[in-house]
Amino acid sequence: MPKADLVPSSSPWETHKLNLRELLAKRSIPGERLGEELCIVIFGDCSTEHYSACLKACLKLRGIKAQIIEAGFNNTELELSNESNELTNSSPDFVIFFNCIQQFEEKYSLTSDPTNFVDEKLSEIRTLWDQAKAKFKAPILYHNYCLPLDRSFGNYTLGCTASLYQCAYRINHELSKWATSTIGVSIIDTDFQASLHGKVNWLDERLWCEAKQALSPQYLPSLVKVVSDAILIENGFLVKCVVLDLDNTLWGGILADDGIDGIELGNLNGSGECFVRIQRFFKNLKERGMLLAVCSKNQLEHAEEVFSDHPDMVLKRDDIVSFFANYEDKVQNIIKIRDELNIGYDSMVFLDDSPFERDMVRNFLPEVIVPELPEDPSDYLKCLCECNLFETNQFSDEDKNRARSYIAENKRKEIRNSSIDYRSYLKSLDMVAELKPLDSFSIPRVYQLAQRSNQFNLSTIRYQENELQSILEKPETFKCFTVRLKDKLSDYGIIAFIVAEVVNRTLNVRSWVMSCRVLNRFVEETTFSGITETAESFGCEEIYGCYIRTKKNDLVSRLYDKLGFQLISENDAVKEYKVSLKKAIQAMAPLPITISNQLQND
Amino acid sequence: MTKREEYKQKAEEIFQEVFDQPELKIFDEMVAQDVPDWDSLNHITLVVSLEEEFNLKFTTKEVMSWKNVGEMLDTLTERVN
Repeated sequence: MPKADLVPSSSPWETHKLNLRELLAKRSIPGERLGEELCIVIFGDCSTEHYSACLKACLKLRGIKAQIIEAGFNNTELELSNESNELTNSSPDFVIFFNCIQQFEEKYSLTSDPTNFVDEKLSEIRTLWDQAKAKFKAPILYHNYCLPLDRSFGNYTLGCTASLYQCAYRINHELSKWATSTIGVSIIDTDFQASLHGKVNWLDERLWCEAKQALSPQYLPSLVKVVSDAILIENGFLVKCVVLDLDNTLWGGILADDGIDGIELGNLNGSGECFVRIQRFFKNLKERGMLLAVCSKNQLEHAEEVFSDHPDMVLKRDDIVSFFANYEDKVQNIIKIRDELNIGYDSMVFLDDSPFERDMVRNFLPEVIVPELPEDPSDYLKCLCECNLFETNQFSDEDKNRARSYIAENKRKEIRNSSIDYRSYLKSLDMVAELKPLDSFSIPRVYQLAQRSNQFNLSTIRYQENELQSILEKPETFKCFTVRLKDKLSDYGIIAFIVAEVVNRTLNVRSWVMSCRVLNRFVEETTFSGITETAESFGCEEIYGCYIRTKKNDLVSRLYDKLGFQLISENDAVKEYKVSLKKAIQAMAPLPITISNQLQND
Repeated sequence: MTKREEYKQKAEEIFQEVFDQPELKIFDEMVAQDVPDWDSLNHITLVVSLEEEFNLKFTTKEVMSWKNVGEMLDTLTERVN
């Protein structure tokens, strides 16, 4: 069977390619190097047994052990209001609501007033969210409805306020709008997944009537894959960079053989139009904050010439933040791209039409995400859509400007290479660091930093937006500030934050996170001066800090040592430090950076 | 090999995967009690997997009527083609 053949050569994250029994069989694989166990609570008004089993297997394949608690069939309101049950005592990391269109249909059939029905249903869901948030304080993943196979008014159905179809449609629409403005709720787009596979097969009347299956379980591998994507991004696993091959990936043909005027690109020649569409897709991704890199076996000048001179190129040289065209092997080039961008391998996707290159990268850099691309380039985009690689739960101004900021960084490197004294080079950049207390405007960005940063992250606490909100509401306990960096080439926005707590006369630094984009710019020292100042203004005599080891934060394992802290305890996982305020202030040296200190303004 | 034997062989592989027992042998008189893990969850997985593998959909009536594996195989043989 072709499907079965695909599996061994594809990566563990491609769980949507497994069929139901293959996925379920993975429940029994030994869970090696699985870290902390996640606890997930599922509420559903349908059978959630297969769903839970599949989600568990899927997460296991992706390296996460999960304990899943099913709240019982069609029991949501009761379980949420009940004060003394198993759920109340659990502290889940995620709460999933999987309510199905079939139950919705049943309630709809009992109403005489469809317009009001939608409003009532919406306020019911709103209450549910509020209750769940209050009770569990965990992110909510809410499945929208699979829009039903309802043609009771033919083509007029969608336009007809009384139709079941429009009712469900309006609810889905409102839920998406709410979720983008509600902290801690994400929508799982069930309707999209159903459409992708075809609702005629997705919805199975027999299995609903006999076993209360909301969808044919054969599609569960695909559905739980996108649920696992939403879970993973909350834990810092998200794609930040797409590494693109050129020949037969961004254009058709071989540049070295066919020449710049012979490659297939543009609507004038055969399959050239499909590459225009592929490029347009990546251009859009770049606009939304994805970094694009090139890794191609070509001569650099020739490859760059296509970007600057070919009339049908949608992607321009400036869209690419890291460009490697040479005849070295691709693994080496990807290592260089990673070093240049300072991101983790597991946040990189590598796209290449050549099975040889894909296999090599998978073998040597197993963390890099390498989708099996289909033979025909016309199918690339469909394949990427099925893989759901670009999961996110927000879109901010930082995202829009990300590529520009990386390109400015490359210019800085050029200046740096041409200037002999690094310090005087830094001075020439006219850096200004703005230190400001955490406020409601900076929360979304701080949340994003907490989510995305893995390397310069001392304790790797993944704050939820509502946690940051409640920290903000306790200014007498928590002292938090953000650091924003500007220089003459660009405005980085907020690139670091501190969450600290005053305990007796000690300032306890709970979190210290910084974007790796600004490494070696004295931002650490600048941030530390903000910490000492905070300590001073709240009458502290000591500063306490700790380093909690993860697979990815070795970069900062000696940060506190460098800053003059004294090691007070150490084991494999944690190093604890402290320093007296006096000593910390004495040790401070002048910095090549202007500090705009606004910490006293609150 | 008759069609029925051929399908039985294929079905056996699916049984083995679904119940996670690589040595499992199926026989006509076999019923749910003969297999330790044959619960409602695995039953649905089994039916859906057979449907996927043989590219057909059983009717509710057919599924309800099976008294043992033999009858299941009879339906399969009748319906494939």
